[in-house]
Amino acid sequence: MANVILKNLVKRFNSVTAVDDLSLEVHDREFAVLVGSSGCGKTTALRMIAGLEPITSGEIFIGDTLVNDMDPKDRDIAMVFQNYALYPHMNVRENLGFGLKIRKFPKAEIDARVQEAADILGIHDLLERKPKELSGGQRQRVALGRAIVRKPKVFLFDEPLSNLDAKLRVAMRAEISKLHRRLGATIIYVTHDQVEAMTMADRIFIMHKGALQQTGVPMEVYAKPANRFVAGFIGSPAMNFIDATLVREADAWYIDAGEFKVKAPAAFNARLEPYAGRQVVFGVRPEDIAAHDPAADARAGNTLTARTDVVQTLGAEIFVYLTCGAHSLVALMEAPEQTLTEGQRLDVDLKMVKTHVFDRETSQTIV
Amino acid sequence: MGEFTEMTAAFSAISRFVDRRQRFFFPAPAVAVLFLIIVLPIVFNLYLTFTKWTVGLGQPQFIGFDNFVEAFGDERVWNGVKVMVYFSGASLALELFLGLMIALYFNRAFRGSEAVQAIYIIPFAATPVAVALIWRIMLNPEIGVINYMLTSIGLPPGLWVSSEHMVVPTLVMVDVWKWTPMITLIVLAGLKSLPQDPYEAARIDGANPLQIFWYITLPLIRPVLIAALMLRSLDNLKEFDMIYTITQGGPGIASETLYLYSYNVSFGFFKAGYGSALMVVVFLVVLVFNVLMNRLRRDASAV
Amino acid sequence: MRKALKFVALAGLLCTSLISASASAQIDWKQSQGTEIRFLMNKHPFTTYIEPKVAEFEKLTGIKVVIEAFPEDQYRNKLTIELNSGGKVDGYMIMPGQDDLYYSKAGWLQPLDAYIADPKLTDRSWDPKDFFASFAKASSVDGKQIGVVINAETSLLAYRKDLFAKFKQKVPTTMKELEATAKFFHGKEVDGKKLVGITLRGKKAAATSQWVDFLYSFGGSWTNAQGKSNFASPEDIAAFKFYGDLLRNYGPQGGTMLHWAESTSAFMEGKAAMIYDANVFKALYENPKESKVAGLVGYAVIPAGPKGLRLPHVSNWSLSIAKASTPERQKAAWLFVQWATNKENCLGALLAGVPSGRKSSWDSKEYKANDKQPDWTAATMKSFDIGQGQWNPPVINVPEIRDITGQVIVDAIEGKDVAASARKAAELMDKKMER
Repeated sequence: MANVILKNLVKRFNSVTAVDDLSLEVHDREFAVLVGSSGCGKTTALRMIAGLEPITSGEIFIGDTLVNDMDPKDRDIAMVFQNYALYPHMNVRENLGFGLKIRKFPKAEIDARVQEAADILGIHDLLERKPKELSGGQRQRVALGRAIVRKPKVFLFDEPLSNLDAKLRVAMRAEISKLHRRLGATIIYVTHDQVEAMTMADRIFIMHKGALQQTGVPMEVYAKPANRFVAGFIGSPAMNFIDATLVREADAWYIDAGEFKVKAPAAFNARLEPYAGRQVVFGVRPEDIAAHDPAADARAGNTLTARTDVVQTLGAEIFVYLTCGAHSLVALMEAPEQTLTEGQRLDVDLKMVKTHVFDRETSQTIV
Repeated sequence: MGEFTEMTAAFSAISRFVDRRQRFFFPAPAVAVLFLIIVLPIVFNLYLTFTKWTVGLGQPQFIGFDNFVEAFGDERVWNGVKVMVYFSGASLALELFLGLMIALYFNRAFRGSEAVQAIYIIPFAATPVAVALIWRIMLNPEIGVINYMLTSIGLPPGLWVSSEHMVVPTLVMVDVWKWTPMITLIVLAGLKSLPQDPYEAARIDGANPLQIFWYITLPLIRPVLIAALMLRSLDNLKEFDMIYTITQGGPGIASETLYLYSYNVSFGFFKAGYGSALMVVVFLVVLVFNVLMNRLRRDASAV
Repeated sequence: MRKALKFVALAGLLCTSLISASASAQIDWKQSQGTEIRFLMNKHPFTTYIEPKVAEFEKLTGIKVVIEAFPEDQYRNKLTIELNSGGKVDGYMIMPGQDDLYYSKAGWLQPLDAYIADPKLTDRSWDPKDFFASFAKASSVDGKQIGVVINAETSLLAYRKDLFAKFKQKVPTTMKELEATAKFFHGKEVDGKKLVGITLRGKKAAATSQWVDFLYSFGGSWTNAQGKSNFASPEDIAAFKFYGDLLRNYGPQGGTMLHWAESTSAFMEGKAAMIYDANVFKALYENPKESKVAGLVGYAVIPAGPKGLRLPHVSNWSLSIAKASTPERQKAAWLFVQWATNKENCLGALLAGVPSGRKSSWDSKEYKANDKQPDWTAATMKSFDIGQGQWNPPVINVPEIRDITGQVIVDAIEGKDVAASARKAAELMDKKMER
């Protein structure tokens, strides 16, 4: 059993609260990703789990043991650092074996484990090299290897891929996921990159300003963001937010943004009821905006007329930056047969069932 | 008008000539001065090495390697080597050790650490001869303040530099007092520039503070330590001001380093030839030591 | 009337003869008019005394004198370099006991005998017989005078009159008594402080200049009849051993590091019953601002050795003339040396605190009227009379041989095997000695 439980964890640096009453549970063998923009407290939380940062208040359990006052070395964890933190004066073999040597493992056992890690990571050829003779990706592998050889209960990753170039990052993502399956260990992975979170996590923990915003499997936080922050943070490109008012006409609810008015699906009605006439924020993901389908039912009330500002072609898909009066929208749509020109009029349909409505005051999700 | 153009032409030709050879023209005065004040004396000194010459009595006589042969059989040369090794070995080792320890202490910021550091470097900033004079008076066994303090708290007085057995340890103590701060400053600068994340990695890897020092700090700081040692050894192996002021090599020749002896031969006995030869021996010792250190340093910094 | 005439004539004749008599005794001071001479001097009290008076000499002779003075350490280097490189030096100060053989061998010293003997160059009033013979000898090399003394020194035993009276001790007159007296006082408590019996210089080469008085008084010598080192002789060994034992057993702690400064300050602090060092340190002992024993000190000549010998050394600074100078300038330089060492200037210098090498200065009523330590004067005079001019090894490389000698003194103070150390030093001295 190596679950990790944080209870009401608080960290203050003088007057600044870095982690504010954080409670969460990471299950055994789970790949948990702590994600949030920089300064959200995710790294501080991870360092507290590691024991590198003293706790202001709260409790941390690793595998049912309260570790608040335990030294890092006694917590049975391994950590992979953003800057790799390799020992510059040791070669790769010594870097990998250091933790075992310190723990007085027999030499044969150390050798065997180093071999095994080198096998897993494909770094056999590098064993005799010093860190400064390695590329960034190779160093990252060595840093991973150093964590692997220890066979700890919990792996902690602190933005391990952020110093790699984009291509290598994609490759390493897959590799770490594979590694997780192979090792079957609990992993707590900190990143600011929601793509990493989405692609690798069993569960995502989204943090903002020191507090946990939402926990869930990737598709869940994507489809059902708990609040406007999560909605904006998860998904790329980010969700469009438009200030609007809820109005009731006949028996349907309308989202009135001034320049346009769209009809909310009937499924929303119950939730929207209490917000009649209130100021809300209307959210729609770029991928839920499509070019107007003339064949569609005109009564759907999901079409709006906009002007194209910029059109970026990705290949099969295009980004279209739209203005609709004072509102700006980004749309990600299939490339139409007739090339769009900038500055032209364009009618678009919104996939209304996938849109969201947020309370403008509390930012909480209404629908 | 024509003359003027001709002159400008000539002038610009000269200026072009100079421009293209700036790398020769600009350093020329410095090179000349260096030659006069550094190269010439060294060459002259090397020449004297092979001569017998008492200043004032005739011209230097060429005698080949006789001076070195004489040095080889000169008891005071061997005594000088012994004293030099003893003094330098003990003082360099202590300065390095204490400098490192104190630097580690200062490296952890604490309240008032800057004030403490400022006071701490005073010995190193003070004029060597003035400091040595003060020590000489303090170490006097009859009227010195050190014995006064020792006896006033009931401890037996010491002979310090007046004892042939205690003189070198006492000089080592003064040297350590004066120069440890310099080593500390260098090592402290090195410590402050060390990467911090290997320390956290080591803590997670399970190293205790002692192991972190031994396996992480010491190897990482080693190039700095060797650089500090080299810097200090350049002065220390030729330590003169302090020893000359406090003991002049005494009692007898108990604290006469090779360098001090070579000075005595040259400027006390006016035997410039033999003295120069001894200076060359000192120079060779310093050179060999530093070549060795440099090799160590290169190995250490190849991380 | 005739009687009166006769008297006038007689008086006139007398006057003329007197005038002509004085004219014949007076040399022509203007004979080198217009010459310019340059003297290098140590910044010694004598230099301080004579510098302001040089204008008088320039007025008297029409010679222009340039004096350049440097502190002693710097002075020796400067002088050696200038003489060696043939700089324009016409005269300089020299410490003959230290440098005469070296300078003479180097060819830097012009003998003065010819000038002294020449009545046209040397005024009768200069009176060479007035100088103590010991100093004339000290300023000579191979019987030729190479300098004229301007500062005369010797060494004396100084003792605490008050303590000697209190403990009813007699001033020692033999080495045996010296040791017994030192032993008597050593460890005595006076005013809560423990005394030492005697303080001496013990610092290697520096100690030789006082130790040599013991060497001579023990019947020893630097070299034997064959010109070899005499250190291994019983007399020399006895002198080394006596000196070392005296300092180790009855002297201050750390005897091997005592230079004159340390030794005199121990005495001036009131920590020692006796001191044997230069007579001129009287000025230190008797200075109430620096010394706790001012007014309490008595002075005596060195005690006699086993065979009754009392042979202190005398040392001096002299004015010499550079051999490399031109005859014309050397003549002018001699006039300057002669003037600077005349009776008037020697007395003036003595009254200004520079001990004179002339008997007449010390005998003058001006000096006697102000003499606060007549026992010091008496002891000094006695020491000047019996003093030995050769206080350094009779070699060219004095510092090197002094250094070798000093090692034996150090070994003796440390109580090591003196005979063995002396034999080793003798061997080394024979090897290194340059004559």
